[in-house]
Amino acid sequence: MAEATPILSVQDLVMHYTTRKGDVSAVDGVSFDLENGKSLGLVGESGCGKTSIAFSLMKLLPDNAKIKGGSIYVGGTDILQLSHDELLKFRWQRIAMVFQAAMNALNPVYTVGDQIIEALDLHWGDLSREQSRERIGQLFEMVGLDPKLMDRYPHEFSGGMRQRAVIAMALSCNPDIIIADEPTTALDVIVQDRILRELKKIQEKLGMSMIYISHDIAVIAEVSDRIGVMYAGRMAELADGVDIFEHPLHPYTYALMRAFPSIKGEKHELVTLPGEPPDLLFPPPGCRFHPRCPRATDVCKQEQPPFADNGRGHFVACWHPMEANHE
Amino acid sequence: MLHYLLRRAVSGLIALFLFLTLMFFVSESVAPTDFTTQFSLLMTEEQRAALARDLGIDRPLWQRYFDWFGSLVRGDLGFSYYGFPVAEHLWGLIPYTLLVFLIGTMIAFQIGRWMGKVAAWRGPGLVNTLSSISAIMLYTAFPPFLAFLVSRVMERRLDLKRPALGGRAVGNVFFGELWRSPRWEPETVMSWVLLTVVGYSVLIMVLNELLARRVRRRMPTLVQAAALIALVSGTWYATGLWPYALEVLKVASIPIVTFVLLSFGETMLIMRTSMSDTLREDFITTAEAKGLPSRAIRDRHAARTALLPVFSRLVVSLPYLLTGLVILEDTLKWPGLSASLFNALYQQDIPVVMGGLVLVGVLSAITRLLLDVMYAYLDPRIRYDSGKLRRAG
Ligand SMILES: Nc1ncnc2c1ncn2[C@@H]1O[C@H](COP(=O)(O)OP(=O)(O)OP(=O)(O)O)[C@@H](O)[C@H]1O
Ligand code: SF4
Ligand SMILES: [Mg+2]
Repeated sequence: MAEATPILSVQDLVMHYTTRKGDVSAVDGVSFDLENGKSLGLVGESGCGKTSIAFSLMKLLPDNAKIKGGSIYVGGTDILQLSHDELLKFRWQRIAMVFQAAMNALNPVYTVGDQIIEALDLHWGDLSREQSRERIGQLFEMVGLDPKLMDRYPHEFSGGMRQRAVIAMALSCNPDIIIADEPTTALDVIVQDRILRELKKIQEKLGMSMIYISHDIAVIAEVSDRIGVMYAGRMAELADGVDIFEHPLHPYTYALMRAFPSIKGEKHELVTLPGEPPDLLFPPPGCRFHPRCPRATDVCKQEQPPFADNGRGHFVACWHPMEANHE
Repeated sequence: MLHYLLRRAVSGLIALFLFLTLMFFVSESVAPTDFTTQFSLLMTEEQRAALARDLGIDRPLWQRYFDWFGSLVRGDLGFSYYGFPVAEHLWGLIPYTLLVFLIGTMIAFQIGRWMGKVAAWRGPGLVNTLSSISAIMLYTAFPPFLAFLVSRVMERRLDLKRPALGGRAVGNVFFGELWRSPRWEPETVMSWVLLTVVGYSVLIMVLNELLARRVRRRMPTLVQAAALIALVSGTWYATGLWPYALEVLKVASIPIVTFVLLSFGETMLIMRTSMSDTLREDFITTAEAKGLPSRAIRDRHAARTALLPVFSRLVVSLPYLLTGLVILEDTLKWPGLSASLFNALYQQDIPVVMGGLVLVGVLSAITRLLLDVMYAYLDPRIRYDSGKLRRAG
């Protein structure tokens, strides 16, 4: 599977939030690779650490967050070792982001065009004003906006238009990777689907790599080459989309699949599983899924299962994977 | 945009009209007697009645009201009961009030904005706590007491000779050598000081905007301040205004400093809250993700957007600022509009009282309108608030 050197390689990432009540173990030993030009979907219940991973990848963390260990290689350099200035150059140029709350992702007092120009100025400083505007015009056309709108303010845009503008902004500096963190939750399902599909098309046309984040596995399945299923700050299973759907190995993934009707495009949330995900202030020992797992045994309660490859690029962290029963 | 401003201007005029009408009847009816009463030891009953007839204050109230309003519409403020023209009298006082009000507000706004910005940016800590406490203390201080403290401290430092505090009489405040045979009267000097400071500030603001359009960069605040000082003092020097302007500022510094101390706290507190809120907005995360350096995030994204609530609050609190100024002028014996207003009120010299109120009202209306223009300029959501939005699609 992973012959070519991946554009992004995350190894054993551990990230905590310090709070008054203690440390929230939001990301705990997560590893994954993303190949050049491919897309990865991260899926999991609310609060399982998807956004925390996304922000770690840009080293864009709140003051109380601390990366405790691991490495994040982007195109061969470990971004956790970058100096502050190098980091500023790295952001947006190598990894850009389409935000979850696109509604408020734009500053209300500047025109949309000016906010994109700001990024261009910063990373492609040698563009003249005309060149920048031409570039924004192209970007707007690419995302399906009228270039004339670049001199408008965000409040003059509808929700869908704002989402497109945010995508145009993410594309502006030709990043290697774009992270779309639940890019469309604020919009209605039809607009959501269309924009996501367009984003997918743009990604393939430009040959970028993409990370899609959502708690809706149907959405993720539609646009991702590989899918990572997260549970309580850990990666439960990581495999090609087909494999995840046809041979889920992790009991959690299996439960997810069964919980979903097969009609695509409908909006589901992962609330159909019995029980609640654990409080990450006090995560359970061993496998974090064991309180809800029908297959749990004593070893599950005491020891963390290793995140292991089954030899065909299908990773799973489970002492008693499903495959046997399955085939 | 024009529509919006027009609406604001009209509502301002209506408010002014209502205010003046109300004040006319209140100031006439609150006092138990009339202007002539104060002469009851000097004049006989008949003489007083004749005086009242002369002045026209024996006529019914509504008649006087229509008379007064009629001449106001024609731009005539009438005559004081002592015989001097009200407009001329007040005209000489305006520079005193404006000097303190405009320069004080400008300084207080800048200080408050800057301190609020820095406090919010730094987050909780010693600096933050100390600045908030001092801001709250000053903002809630009893104005006459603060005025007293400031004048005690500063008079000695500046070696100023000033009339004693207390009592009602208001007179000259300019005593120095310079004013024995001056080339300009203090009022003229004040007007020029005001004109140069405000004029150059506006000029620098406009230049800055043009610069931002052209090269997408602004002058740092310090450079702006330095440019302002250079331009202003250069002009004073060239015109020979220098020693006079300096002397005027020295004397005016006491009311200005007091006014600034009283009013910057509000701006600071609102700015701090607004800035902390803004820093939690998603577009700040966007700005960080774009790789902007923290200075640009703080100034260009957070502070610029955080300014909006501060501005709209300033529009609302303007009357209170003016009220504070009235008390200050009275306490410090600063011969501005409000001090004269107090005096006239004691003597029941209604034309002067009403004239003063007209000026205060107009002053407040104009400042409001100016702030509205600036606010509309700062907030694009208001700028397009006239149906344009729909057509934009
Ligand atoms: N700044 C913070 N301080 C403390 N805890 C935090 C902070 N941000 C997130 N957390 C906690 O970290 C965990 C992971 O949060 P994260 O936002 O990464 O989840 P998510 O998978 O993106 O969820 P969602 O689907 O709701 O967006 C959650 O338990 C959350 O409560
Ligand atoms: S390790 Fe044990 S508890 Fe965890 S998912 Fe596998 S079987 Fe269930
Ligand atoms: Mg999230």
